[in-house]
Amino acid sequence: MLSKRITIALVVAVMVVTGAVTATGCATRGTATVVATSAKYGEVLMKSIGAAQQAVIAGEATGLVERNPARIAVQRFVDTAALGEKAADKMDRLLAADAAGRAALIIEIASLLDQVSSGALSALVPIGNEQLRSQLTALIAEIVRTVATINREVLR
Amino acid sequence: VSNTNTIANLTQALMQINTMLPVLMALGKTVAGAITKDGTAPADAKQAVNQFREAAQKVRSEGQEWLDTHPADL
Repeated sequence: MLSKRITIALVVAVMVVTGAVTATGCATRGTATVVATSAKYGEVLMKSIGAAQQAVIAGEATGLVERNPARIAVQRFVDTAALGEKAADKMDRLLAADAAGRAALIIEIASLLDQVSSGALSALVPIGNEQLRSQLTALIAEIVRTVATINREVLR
Repeated sequence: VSNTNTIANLTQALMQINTMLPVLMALGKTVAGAITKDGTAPADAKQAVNQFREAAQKVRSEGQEWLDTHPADL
């Protein structure tokens, strides 16, 4: 009787160990894929913002954009970049998070990337030169599409 | 006699667990490894995060440097 119980306990222990290791593998794969996807889109987003910032700086240097509106725009780009760094920190935390913390972090990351997108859009508002503003708006529209893709991928 | 049997059974069970655990852990790791292979390795995800962070830091530092060297028109 006791031997039978021990055998059952052993089988259960075997199932628990195998299940735990396999589940860890699944969780690692899923989270790493989500993080890598967000981070890659985030990098594209940041490079687009960097290009827009350089355009504003160049515009100011050539007289296309006035100093004060350019400063407001660049300050907003700087603020959005800081939000991007915050999102990267959350991604690092997500890689090490347990199941309980994972969902909240994914939502926080998606929210931060959304704020980066809207911050980049608001940065263009002070630009007085219509041609430059419309060109940069096209770039930012691409960013917005990118962020929408990120959020779809991350929240899926 | 009953106690002696219980101890003997427990000892035998512990020895079985001791023998089986490393085998099971190795099997589990192999299965987990096969699953992970289809997705993204955590190290690759970490590298992607670092590249994202570097891109953000570049925008922030370049922008801040310009702000510091280009004061507002009064």
